[in-house]
Amino acid sequence: MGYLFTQLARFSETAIMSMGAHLTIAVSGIFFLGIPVTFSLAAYAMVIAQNFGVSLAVALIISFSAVLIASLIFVSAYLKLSADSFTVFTLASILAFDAAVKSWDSLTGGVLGIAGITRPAFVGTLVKLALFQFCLAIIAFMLEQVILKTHFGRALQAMKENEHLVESLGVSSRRIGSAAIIISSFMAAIAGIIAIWRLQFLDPSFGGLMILIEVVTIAIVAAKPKVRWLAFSTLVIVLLPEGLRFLNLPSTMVGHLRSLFYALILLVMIKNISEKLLAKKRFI
Amino acid sequence: MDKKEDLIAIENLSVKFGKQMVLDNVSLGIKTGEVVGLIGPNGCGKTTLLNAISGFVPIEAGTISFSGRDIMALAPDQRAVLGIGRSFQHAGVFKELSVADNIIIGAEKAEKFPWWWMFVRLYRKKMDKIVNDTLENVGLSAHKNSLAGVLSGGQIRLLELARLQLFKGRLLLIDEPTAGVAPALRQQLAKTIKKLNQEYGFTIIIVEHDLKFLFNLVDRVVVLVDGQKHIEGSPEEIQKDKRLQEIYFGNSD
Repeated sequence: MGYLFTQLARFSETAIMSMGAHLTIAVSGIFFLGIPVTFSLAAYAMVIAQNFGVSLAVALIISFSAVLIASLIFVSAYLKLSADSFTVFTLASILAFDAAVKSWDSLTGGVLGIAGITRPAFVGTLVKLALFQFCLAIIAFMLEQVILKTHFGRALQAMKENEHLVESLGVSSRRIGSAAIIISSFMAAIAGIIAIWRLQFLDPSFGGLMILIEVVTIAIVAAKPKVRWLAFSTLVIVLLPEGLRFLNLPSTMVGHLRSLFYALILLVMIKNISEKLLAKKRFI
Repeated sequence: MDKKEDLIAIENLSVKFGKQMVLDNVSLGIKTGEVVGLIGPNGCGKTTLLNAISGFVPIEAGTISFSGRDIMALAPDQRAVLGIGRSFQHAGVFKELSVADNIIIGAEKAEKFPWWWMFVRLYRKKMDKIVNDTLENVGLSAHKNSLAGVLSGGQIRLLELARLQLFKGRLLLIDEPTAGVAPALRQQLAKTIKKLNQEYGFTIIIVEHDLKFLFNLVDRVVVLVDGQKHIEGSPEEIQKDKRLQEIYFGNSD
């Protein structure tokens, strides 16, 4: 049962994080790859704040404030750089954050990390936590459904096709894109916080490129601006590699095979649906 | 002397792409209510001029004023809010959105609906009426829920012009409206453009290669050649210009 609730929790964390990636990458065509940064930053900020003795509420405020600053930096880059340079910038931010975490070991514990992270009392057990996370995931799906039906959602979809046409209607594509990046950052932050409550251990391997590969794969497989596609895509990407556990493979291989699985899915989906996903050609 | 004020005044406008001067010292004034045609050979800067007015290209030199106000510092979306509407040479609709959504995305901005309008029945009914009436006017009611990408070139143009009718602006920049449109639909297009001017009061600048289509619509024609204003005048005067005849009909002295 513990395994099932863990998978439910993983599905929920990934769904919340992927919603942000779906809005930016799949729906609006903004290749924002800074999601692992805000995912990890939120977790680190909350845990470090709590280590200084502040309450959970204050720690969460500090955490979300840190994510807001990070998202505004990303927005500034989005407004100033070309589309491809922005993508590279956000990719580089993952490496920069990883280096900062490893270097600032007095705060972050460096490569050894921070152990013994306690869960809040209201989600003290894995079952309660998993159910809480699942409720959050449902809310996230409903939020995306609402977003896609509003002017904001329509403008996001339209931007992917033709930014000039959107602007000729009096809609600021830069403002819409900036809002999408901020929402994406905060969805990743929420996912990071609830994930660290489950793992109760935080080190530089939390987040990073593996998370990026996972959410980008989900966003690309989801492709269409439909919540059910996002939910199905998350289910497939999170649960399918679990089959590898039941094969008699050395544990050192399983992690790499999971990455290989994501890479193959990406290649297949990009080959088959690249025209639908990327309305404009992109060269990085 | 005509005392009507210029709705849009372009003074000594130059646009450069790299080392290439695409527009060179162009000056032009368009009065309120006028329909002005912009013609010239391929690559002479017609679309660039429209892009400069819309704010989509950086200006090398010169000024553009709209209703007496300098708009050089305004972003394209701000110029649209000010009242400058635009149709594009290629695909002026969002093909991945439904036909209805293509109308809605323009109408909700034009009618200043709040962002939560779709959750209120009153607004939903009002929007439904706008969408249904607009599509009925251009004969696209049957395609309301289809993706705009399934429409023919002519239908896309009609959808684009239908959306422009909802635009609460004063100036429309229409770029090659007959491109990819079957001859049978051109009459309907011409009717729609005339309606935009005479009933809805838009001042219009049209870029067009089909001179017969254009000369029936416009009050005045401006000819660009090699990025410079060559001549302007009524359609009758323009048709007598020898250089224009050379460009369009290959006549030589």
